Amino acid sequence: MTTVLTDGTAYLERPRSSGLAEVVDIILDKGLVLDAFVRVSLLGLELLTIDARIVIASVDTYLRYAEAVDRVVLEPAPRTRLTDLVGGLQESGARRKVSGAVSGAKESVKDALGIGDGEDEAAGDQKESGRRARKRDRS
Amino acid sequence: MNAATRAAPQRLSAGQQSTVACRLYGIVPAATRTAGSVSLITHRSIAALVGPVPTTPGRPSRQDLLNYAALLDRLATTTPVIPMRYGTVLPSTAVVRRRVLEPHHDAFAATLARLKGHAQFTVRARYLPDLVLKEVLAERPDALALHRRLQQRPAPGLRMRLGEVVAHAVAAKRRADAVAIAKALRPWVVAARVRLWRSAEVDPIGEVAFLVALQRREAFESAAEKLARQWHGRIRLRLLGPMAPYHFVTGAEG
Repeated sequence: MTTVLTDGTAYLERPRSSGLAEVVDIILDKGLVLDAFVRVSLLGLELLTIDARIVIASVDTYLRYAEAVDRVVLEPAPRTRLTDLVGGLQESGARRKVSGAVSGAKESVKDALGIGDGEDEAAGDQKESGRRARKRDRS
Repeated sequence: MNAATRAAPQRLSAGQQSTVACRLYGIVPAATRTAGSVSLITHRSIAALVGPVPTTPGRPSRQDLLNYAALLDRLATTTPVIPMRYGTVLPSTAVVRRRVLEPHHDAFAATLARLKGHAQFTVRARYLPDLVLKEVLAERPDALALHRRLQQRPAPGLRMRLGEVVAHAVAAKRRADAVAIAKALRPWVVAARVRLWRSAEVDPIGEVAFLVALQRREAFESAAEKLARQWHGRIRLRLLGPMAPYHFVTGAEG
């Protein structure tokens, strides 16, 4: 980690040019979409779009998160810290929250089936218009 | 990129229509100067920025994607531009004129007037490795309790629940932090759009796109730098741009 900083750009990453992943995210998912008459004629494009879009919450995602928890908790330093933090006092609170998580299970099934939230959030009508636009692309 | 799109500036003629279609890059003011493989189809005050593209289907190359973005981003620093989504292809220049420029002239002209002197900057944010997981585990004793139960006796259902609890907690943090980025830089921008990642990867937060007046570019960049310093040790910020205002035209005409 940087400790001595001499210029104003030491903390912010400023790539000179965007990488492919960044470009793909933006030019395939954003930008103006015209009406249905504009055909997306480049074969493979739709597939690429799907490849580029990151998979939403699913069974697989949850298992990966659980794995990540194993890894983090088993690291020595955080373990001591966390054990200290979460003493017996919080056991009852924990139980309450776990039952809360059960009621959220329905939502997670929806996610797994691809119903529900997309990746865009807090962007006003962006999400809806994006979805409509994608439908048009396929038609 | 293929030979056709690399070719010298050319107008597409009727005779070429069977093999070469018209790729639409974006809409610009009619007075825009172009070079290379792209040309303008002008209609009153606006113009379509187009280039030839072969009608033979083929998977787009990495270089083609990068060139497409680079062309629009370069242009965006000197002239207002409405970037089209990659892959917008029309059969001929005549169709571009008849179906795109003529019917949408007024709306495009208004959008270009709005975008004049502005470009997009995009801030991408991610947590330092594992940091958000540690935060969630410290703040959510229920997650840690689930983990402990699993250590004693493995159970697939419980494991799924642990992942779910953590995934939702991480999502809430992403949302709060991405919105905080938008708010922190709001005084220096005209508009902001937040996109959250809901990825299987834990650390990425998302991106915030900002529409910035080019005159205020330096002030915005130093504010972003200040924010990056403030969050040093927790969140890493990456600033992309100036680029074409991709996030600020979606759906406007569609």
